[in-house]
Amino acid sequence: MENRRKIEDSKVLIIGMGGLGCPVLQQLCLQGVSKIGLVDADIVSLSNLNRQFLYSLSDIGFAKVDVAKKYVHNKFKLVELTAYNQFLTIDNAIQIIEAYDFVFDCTDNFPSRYMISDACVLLKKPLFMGAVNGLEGQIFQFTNLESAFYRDVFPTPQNSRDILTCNQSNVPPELTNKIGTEMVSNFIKYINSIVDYNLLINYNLENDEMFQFDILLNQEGIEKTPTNIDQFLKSNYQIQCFGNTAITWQEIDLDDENICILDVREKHEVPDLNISQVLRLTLDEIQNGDNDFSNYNELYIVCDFGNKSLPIAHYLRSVFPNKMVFSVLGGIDDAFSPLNLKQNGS
Amino acid sequence: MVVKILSFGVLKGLLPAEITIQNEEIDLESFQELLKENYPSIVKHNFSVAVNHAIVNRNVTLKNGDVIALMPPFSGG
Repeated sequence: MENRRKIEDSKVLIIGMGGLGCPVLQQLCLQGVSKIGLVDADIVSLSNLNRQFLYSLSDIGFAKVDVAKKYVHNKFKLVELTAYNQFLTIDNAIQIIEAYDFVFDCTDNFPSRYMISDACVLLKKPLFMGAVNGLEGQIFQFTNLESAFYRDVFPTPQNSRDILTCNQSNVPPELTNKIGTEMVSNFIKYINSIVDYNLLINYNLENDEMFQFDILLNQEGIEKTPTNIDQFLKSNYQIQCFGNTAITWQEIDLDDENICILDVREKHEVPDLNISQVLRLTLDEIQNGDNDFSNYNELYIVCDFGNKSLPIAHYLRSVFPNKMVFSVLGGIDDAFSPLNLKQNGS
Repeated sequence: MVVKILSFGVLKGLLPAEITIQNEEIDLESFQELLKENYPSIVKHNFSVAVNHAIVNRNVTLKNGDVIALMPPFSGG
């Protein structure tokens, strides 16, 4: 009975209202949690509907947190829900997380995962994290408040571009539902004091295999965690995960049709870069939100010499924390730009 | 001695289910070196290692029948 009340009185924050956030929200409501916060700036799109079951065709274009709030209001009258229609960033993370007792990380990218883990370590908030890849999922429980949470398992991000977010549309709905449900089930077990240590569960949908691992303290993880909030506020999680903003033409895979080469020169400037992935938008158009880049995970910003593109890349990294955004050194003028390579006949 | 291997995510398929070693025992660091030499495709991946279902971050001695799990981080949600 006392545990029942503990569950009802818990203030729970869900970060990310995609494939994992939907089942987590529903399960928390069914379990009787009555104060829930939702963080996401994403809007509902057609490709979400196969697995993000809170949303319908008529919700396309609306903010996920607002649609989710309406759903909860209709079904669970007693749940008090706060919708934060914004992405979690360094600037708002502490303030938002501070107001809750438990955090569910349902995000889809490494910069957010490291940022949320570090913030929860600093604020001593138990964290339940879910992640999927293909037909497999991971559920993390971080409830030992003296530990380094995610950094006990992976002390530093790989700092490489091959840790791309997978093509989310390939993730089957039964996997995200299973992982989201397990996250909440771990939360309930923790409240009931059945499992109170840090652990990782790996689940494979293909053969229904589940392996559980204990997570021990990791000195390296502790050393890599910001020691105080000031240090946290100075961290750059995108650079930690994706590396520096500026890269060279040689580092770009121009055979990849899914990348976007964003040419930010004024419209009258010539010559054109004659490659298929080019999109031309001026700074004004970018800031107006003329394009939401929802078709791309990787954006390479190009100007004449690589000077104008750098601040734009920084800006876009702040607007799209889960995209990999780079500024191309040397710009169009660079000897290795596709333009000059073509002229040289290579 | 025989060491059993569980591999997840991108590592699945890159490693066999078990590996036989001539020695009676081997420490975890040497074992990982051995894996990287024999299965170089795993080198470019980031992963965490568990011994007998506990994620360990120090060098431990492996015995016959121990289970090693290699887990890459997943980002999707």
